[in-house]
Amino acid sequence: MTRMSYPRSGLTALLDALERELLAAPVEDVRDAWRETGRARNIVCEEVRALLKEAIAASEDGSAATPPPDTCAGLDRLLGVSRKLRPEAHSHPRASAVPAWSCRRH
Amino acid sequence: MASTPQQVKEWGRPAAPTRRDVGAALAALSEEDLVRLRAIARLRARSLPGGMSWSDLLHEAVLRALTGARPWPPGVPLLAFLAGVMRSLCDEQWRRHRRHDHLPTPHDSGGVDDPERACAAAEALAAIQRLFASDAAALMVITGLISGMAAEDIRRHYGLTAVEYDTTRRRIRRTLLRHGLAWSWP
Repeated sequence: MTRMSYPRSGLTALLDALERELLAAPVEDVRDAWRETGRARNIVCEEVRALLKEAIAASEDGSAATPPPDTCAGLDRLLGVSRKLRPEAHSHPRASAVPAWSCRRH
Repeated sequence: MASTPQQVKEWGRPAAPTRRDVGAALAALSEEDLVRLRAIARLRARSLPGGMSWSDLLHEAVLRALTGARPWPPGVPLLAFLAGVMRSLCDEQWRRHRRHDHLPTPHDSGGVDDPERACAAAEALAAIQRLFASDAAALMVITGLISGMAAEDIRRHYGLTAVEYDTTRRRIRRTLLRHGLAWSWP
């Protein structure tokens, strides 16, 4: 049986390999790809830099309540469900803890 | 008081980078590294449930690195570390998705009993293959990678010379980077 029969393991193998390619991509390849897209270099970089700054700010805001590794709380933001609207959130043992997934300020 | 062998071992080990180190390393990332990071996040977020975007994924990975929830091991390049965090966040996101939908979480099953994840993976594979639809050699390499083949096996299996294989890999890298920079995937 090939991995094509198991898309998940096939995808895992492919993504891991492609990720290695991207990490090891020579600077010239990155610059060539940049030129080929025609997107303004500074716009792309500013977009990622803004995201990094946002994460740094969020980490400073929440530094007093750092979540433990792999904690299980806080799916709400990802699924667009307000914690206030979800009754079980109040009774969940970790409901008062910092959500495992951060709240981005869009 | 004499030191225990364990203490000596701990002292000899490089200290784990602090939040300040992570912040400084992030600020020092080159423009090329930012593009790599974006491309990796886009690639990983392609098959996620719950409408999670590449920026959500990258933001969360960076935040966990900064807070120490995912400690940055000494000696590991920052980009490789963040890529690893994003990889594990994807698994975490699937577990959360299943738990939220009150579905049983599969254990050690290789995902074969998670039809939704298998479907998402099949769609992501199809999207990646579509990226290379006009490049027969790239499709061969991609198919080999999906099958878990090593570079030498792919070359031998598809009759590619070392030069052909390397130039194909270069085209694959550039295509991925281009799509990492673009607004959307095909």
